[in-house]
Amino acid sequence: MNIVEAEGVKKYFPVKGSILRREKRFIKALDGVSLSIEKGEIYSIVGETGSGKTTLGRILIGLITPTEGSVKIDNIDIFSIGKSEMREIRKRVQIIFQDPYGSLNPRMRIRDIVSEPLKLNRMEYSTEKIARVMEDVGLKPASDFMDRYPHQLSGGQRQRVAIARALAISPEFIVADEPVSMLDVSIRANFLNMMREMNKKYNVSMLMITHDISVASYIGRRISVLYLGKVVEQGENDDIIKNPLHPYTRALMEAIATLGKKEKELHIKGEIPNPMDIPKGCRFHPRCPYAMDICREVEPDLVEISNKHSVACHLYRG
Amino acid sequence: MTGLSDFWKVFKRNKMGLTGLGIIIFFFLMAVLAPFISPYNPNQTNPNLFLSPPSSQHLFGTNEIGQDLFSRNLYGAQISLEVGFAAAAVTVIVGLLIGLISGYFGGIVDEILMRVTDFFLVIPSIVFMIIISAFLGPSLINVILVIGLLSWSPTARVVRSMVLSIREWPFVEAARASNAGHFYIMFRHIMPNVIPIVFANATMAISNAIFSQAALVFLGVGDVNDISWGQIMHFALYSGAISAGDWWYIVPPGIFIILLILGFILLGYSLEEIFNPRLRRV
Ligand SMILES: Nc1ncnc2c1ncn2[C@@H]1O[C@H](COP(=O)(O)OP(=O)(O)O)[C@@H](O)[C@H]1O
Ligand code: SF4
Ligand SMILES: [Mg+2]
Repeated sequence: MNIVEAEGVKKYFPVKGSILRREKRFIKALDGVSLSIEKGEIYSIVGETGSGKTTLGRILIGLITPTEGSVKIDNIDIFSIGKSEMREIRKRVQIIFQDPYGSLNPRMRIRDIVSEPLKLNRMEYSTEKIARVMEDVGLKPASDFMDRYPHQLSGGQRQRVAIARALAISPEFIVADEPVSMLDVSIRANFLNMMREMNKKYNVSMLMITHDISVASYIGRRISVLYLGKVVEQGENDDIIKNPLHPYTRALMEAIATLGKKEKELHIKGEIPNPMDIPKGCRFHPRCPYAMDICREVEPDLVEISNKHSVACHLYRG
Repeated sequence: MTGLSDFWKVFKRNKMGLTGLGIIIFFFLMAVLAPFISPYNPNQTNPNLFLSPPSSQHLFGTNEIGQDLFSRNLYGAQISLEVGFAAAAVTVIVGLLIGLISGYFGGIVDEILMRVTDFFLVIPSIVFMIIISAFLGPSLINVILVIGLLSWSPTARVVRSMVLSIREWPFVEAARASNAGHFYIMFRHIMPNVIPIVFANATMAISNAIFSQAALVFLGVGDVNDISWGQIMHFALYSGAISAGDWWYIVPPGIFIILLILGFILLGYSLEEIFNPRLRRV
């Protein structure tokens, strides 16, 4: 059973044209993404900054509308339902943001922040309930944190508050948008372990968004690799990590291998291209060490190579 | 920057702010205690003492109908503070609402509201106040409304620009993801984050209102029946006392007005320094 099913999701942001340039231009943040997340699963999305991860996360819980494609939450197509049905969907999904400083209102007490989704959704809430979820995420004892303001907490504690807020309504699906990328490296593993515990304890499916493939593989049962708005490789965690097929995934893997040397640069040339000017053919070809003639002309489809392991690359055709 | 006690800890180290607050408290006490400490009934005339210079009986001298100017100056603090606070309240409420709505909704709503705001920003408001006051006739409430409704544009501008950035913060999106409505987001999430700056702005609005009221009354379009510093200066001019060189008639109310305005400006600067997130990050 799937909690989330995304089919051919595209999101084109219109760019304000100048007077000289009349034709409409678009930032193609997502260019046809399909994925499904099983109930209870943690699914990882990995890709560089600008690849469209945040946009995808927002679309999956209905915060923004896709240009094309559909998203189903528990088999309900969330972009073809009315307002009141959407309100019901919002009681079943939550999101956690990257920035632990911006995601909590500096003028609200922790107890009010954590209880907010319950109040807004007219669900039952009590101090005991809030305290329980806060202690679950490691804010112990909860009474020490309840009446504090966000600036009195560390980055890691704030991010735990954000998770407590998300868990308070016992959602079925949580999008975690780079929840550890702004935390100190020393507390990341601990934090991810806590998220895994919450995944079990609350029986909540999660989408873990990250630019760091080591985070993706640490926590995700399955992984999708996103590049410039398209999935270039998708599969079980083990298959992706032990046997990366796409040249981009391999580059991401090499970047972890050198992590010890503090060198985190990708071993591929150049920067991620501007999503307004997506390269013709394979969108990765300007940076790909294996690029062939066909790569500059024909866009490769995502095809299943072995059991549930798919890749979009001409190296693996036929 | 959260609780009041936190605020006081920072504020009490701010000399400028403390000076301002001290001046304001001084005039506040003057206004409240006027009935008890005035040596004379401020309206009592004395036909034997027209325009007498300061003496031990009449510290600030007397006016052209023999009223004690010291007593009248003490009472004058009442109107200045009343008008200052009331007009500033109108200014702040209107400015806050317009700024919130404009910044939050953006688009065409913002466009229209900001055109109106800019109009009020560029017109010489004192001239406009004179015209409208002359038209509406003098009464305390008219003066308050005219000043308040012509002075909100700087507050609206400041609030709008803050809202433009606050509405992009992730906590707003988190609330939206939990079914929060526009009204809730505006008043529960955004407003508390602009209130401190609005407070700093309000003190400026108060000093502006005190000045405007005095100017209107001085020019004769305000309410010349209530005792106020502007009114004392008005009669000093129209009774010919100034041309006769009777300085004691006009100098004390002038100094009081300037001092009280200075008090609010000092307080405003210090609040801005404390609250402005760019100057002092939490
Ligand atoms: N609201 C928006 N308007 C215009 N462009 C946007 C908007 N949101 C994202 N983008 C653009 O879409 C692309 C993908 O952004 P994003 O989804 O944030 O990627 P990621 O989270 O992987 O860094 C980027 O080029 C970004 O500038
Ligand atoms: S399709 Fe060609 S350019 Fe694209 S990743 Fe594969 S080899 Fe490289
Ligand atoms: Mg992002």
